[in-house]
Amino acid sequence: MSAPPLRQIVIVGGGTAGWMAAGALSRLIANGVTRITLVESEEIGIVGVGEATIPPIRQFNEVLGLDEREFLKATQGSYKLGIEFVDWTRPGHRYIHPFGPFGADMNAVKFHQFWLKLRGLGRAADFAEYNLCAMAAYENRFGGIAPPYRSPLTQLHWAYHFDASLYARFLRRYSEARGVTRVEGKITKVHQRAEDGFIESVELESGQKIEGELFIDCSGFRGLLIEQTLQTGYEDWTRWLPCDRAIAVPCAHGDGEFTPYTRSTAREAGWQWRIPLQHRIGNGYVYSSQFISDDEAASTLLANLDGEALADPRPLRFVTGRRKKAWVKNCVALGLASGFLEPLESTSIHLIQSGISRLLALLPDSGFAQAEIDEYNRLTDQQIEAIRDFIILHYHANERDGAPLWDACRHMDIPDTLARKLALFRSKGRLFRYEDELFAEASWHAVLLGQNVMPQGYDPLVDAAPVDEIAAALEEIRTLVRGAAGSMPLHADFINQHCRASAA
Amino acid sequence: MSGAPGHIFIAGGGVAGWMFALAAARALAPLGVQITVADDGRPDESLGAQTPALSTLPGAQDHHHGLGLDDLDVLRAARGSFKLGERHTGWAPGADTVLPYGDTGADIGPVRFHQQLMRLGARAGDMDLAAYSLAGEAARLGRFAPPSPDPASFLSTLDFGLHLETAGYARLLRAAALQSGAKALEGRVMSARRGDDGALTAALLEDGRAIEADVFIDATGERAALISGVLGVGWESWAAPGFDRIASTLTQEGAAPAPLTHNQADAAGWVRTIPLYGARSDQLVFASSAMDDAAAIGQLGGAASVSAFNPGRRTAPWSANCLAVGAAACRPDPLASAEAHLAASAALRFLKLVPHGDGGAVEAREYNRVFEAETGSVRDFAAHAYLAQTRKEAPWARARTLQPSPELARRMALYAARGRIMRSEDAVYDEAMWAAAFIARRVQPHDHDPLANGLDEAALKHRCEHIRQLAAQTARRLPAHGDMLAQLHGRAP
Repeated sequence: MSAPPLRQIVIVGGGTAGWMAAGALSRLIANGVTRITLVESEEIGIVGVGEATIPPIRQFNEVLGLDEREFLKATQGSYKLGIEFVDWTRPGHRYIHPFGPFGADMNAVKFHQFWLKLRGLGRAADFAEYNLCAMAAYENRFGGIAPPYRSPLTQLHWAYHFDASLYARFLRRYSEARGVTRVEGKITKVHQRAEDGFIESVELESGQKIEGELFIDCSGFRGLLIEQTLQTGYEDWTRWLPCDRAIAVPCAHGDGEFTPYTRSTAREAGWQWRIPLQHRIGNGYVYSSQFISDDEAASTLLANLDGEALADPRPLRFVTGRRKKAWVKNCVALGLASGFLEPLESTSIHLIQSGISRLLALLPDSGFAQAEIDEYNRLTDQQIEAIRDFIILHYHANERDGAPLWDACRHMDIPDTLARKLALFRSKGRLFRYEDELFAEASWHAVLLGQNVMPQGYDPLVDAAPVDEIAAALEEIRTLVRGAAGSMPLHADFINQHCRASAA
Repeated sequence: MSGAPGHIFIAGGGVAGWMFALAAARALAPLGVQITVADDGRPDESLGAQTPALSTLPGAQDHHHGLGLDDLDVLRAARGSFKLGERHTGWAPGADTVLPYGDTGADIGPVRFHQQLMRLGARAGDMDLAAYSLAGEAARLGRFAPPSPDPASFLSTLDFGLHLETAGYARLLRAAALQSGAKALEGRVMSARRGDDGALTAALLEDGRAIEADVFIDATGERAALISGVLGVGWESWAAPGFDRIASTLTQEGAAPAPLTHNQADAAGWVRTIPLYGARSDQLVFASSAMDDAAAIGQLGGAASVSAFNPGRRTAPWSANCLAVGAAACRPDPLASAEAHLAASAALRFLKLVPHGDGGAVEAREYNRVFEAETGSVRDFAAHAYLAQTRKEAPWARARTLQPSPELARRMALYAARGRIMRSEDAVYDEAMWAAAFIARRVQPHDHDPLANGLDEAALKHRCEHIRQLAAQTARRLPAHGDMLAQLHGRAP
């Protein structure tokens, strides 16, 4: 009655995506039948996609059974409590998109609604002061909270910054210990079944053929299997997200603090990332080639580093968008092979992770069911579209008058889903989450309010409570949050004490 | 600046009208919003004609809590009993299955419990899912206890809905709403006056009175006096082809009620029995092509009455300044157990989106979007029963020609392949309830989840057997449902 289980899964490409897939599959498909092979070539460099992550990465590491501190030691990692956006709203302005909630809902009314009312009365502090991660981030703190401040309102949420190539190396050791076979070599040919075009095998330069029943394409932008072989097609989103190049360079830590957050600074033709690791700081300028030359972008980047550059700047080119289908026949594309969104909200590694967990939830056997492939693609589309909208919001809601890229973004047509969301929020600060949306309401609130999208009114239910009572409740939360944040150790001290990498 | 509406007028009382009034009064009366309900005092058809009793989904308790109601008061007021799930008989030849609430077995990592049983060779027709569920076992033995709040206790795996007499429930909601500041007026809303912008300005009553308000709630049941009668908003029908009539009766009953709603299919239709304390409600949904009204009344007993049955939903329940709730917005098939759930979620959703003076077009669009997703899941859960049944009689064969929605078609294809269920937007039924429904309806997937093959067979068998014994042993120690109720109601039925 059952089709036999897969005997051979072949992962093509050994970057972050490939080794994350190998790690998770080797851990969860332990049926004694399915063999996993990963093909990679040391000659092909890896694009170290975003080294900053979001909190679900912790679940991924947990499923693999990784020890947090060992993992940070092995990857030169640090903790991350959110992302600071500098100059996005307008030059001189900054806000933070922290993890975790703001304040607490009261009487089934969202916290930010109370804040909106008090703000109108000039009686509210900055929105960030009601969020623990934001306050800890501003003080460069991370770690345990002192007992008097521990409460349901002071739950810390975190993710990591790490060196993606070290993470891939770490997962390679993990996967090989669980029976994954690594084959070194460049793929020169792909063989398909005559009757239905399913991929049968990949052939290496050496002539070696590797056969498989399921192929996972982690070959990066080019999509060796999903595009070059299966010609799936690509949907271009440049009309909403005009950046098409990046230039990246690591630098030494300067005299500044070891920040437990990512920083994104808006620039004339895009934005610059700053990701603090233990041994260096990762930097890059994501830009639109329409608005700035490569040389100018490189010199802007080099002029804005914390310390001396530790390598030559490395250019990258990309087309923002998605593969029309992430799963075609017996090939599932993960990572850059499935699409590209700029790392503004640190979603690259998350997209890999959720692709893997979706694949595990819909794992085929040797008889592939179209219903499962369709479901995989439907869920993938929904997720990436929701993230796309969130990223577009950052560009669209700007007040950077007179800068051509930013003017264009402010006036562009945005996707309907985002337009509806903005209209609802502008009216009375309301949001309803859509299906399978990755970012919770708190994230939308942080960015909408951070970028000065102020609702015209607030939820009328707020008026049921007397203003003084609301003000007192907000003040209590603010005091608790400030106390909790101040009671944590400094991020640098916490790292030194618990997860310092032995050598760079 | 916030500008909540000054007067909310609710056309029609009943469970739908009074539940809305209670929720609105609790949240808005402190702001000075006036809330008026026009109640015509006739039998409650706000949730649909021929609905003498309600059989709710788990979660009704949470709604009651949100409304400031104590479940025990609700049960006392509405001759209530507990519901541990639904029993289905006759939908396939010889089939008699229980679809239990709460946890069934336990997942192992990403491997769902039903996948584990399928891995061990169980087939849809012989898989007794209820045997691995505390609610299922307790229901079989006629026992009940409230779930434990301690997640370590096996008793925490139980969940339940309620069986409630509609009239008693409405009376309780009315009293609570009045106490929270809503006002009642005697009268029957027939129509409304409209302003130049198309919005309603005043409701018109049978006795000639005109009542002005800012927001109008249509709780007039299938009559839909405002949303359809005045605004002409359309109706999307979901009926299984041919099943076009519904009869019902409420009769006194001495026997202790079973903690289960019973859906029994027969040649020309099916009967839904909801056991109450001291009474029972029977609803008969049938095909007029195979049975006339007289025969339907004969089957249920002399006091039964009959109406047209046209389940479905309003295409835009919030239009202009009028919001339809209850059966004026959506009449679910009784099989979906969703009437009370939809009434409560409508009120709560409206309160999250209360409009200002600006008419609330943006809010209405969002309300309608979520309504569509929610009612879509209700439609699909019931529609699947008509599609999956295997009865041979002409009305049942015809019912199988029902066209599934694209979402249901996708869901069925996914289950047919490897028994998988993925969650979907604003789903009223969780993955476990869908799994139980597919199994109760004897859908045999082509295969099971390959991840289940990674589990050690002997250890898995042992584990499943352990859960089965635990369910049986724990259920035997629970009090009898009848005794629980006698104590709760403080009197003999």
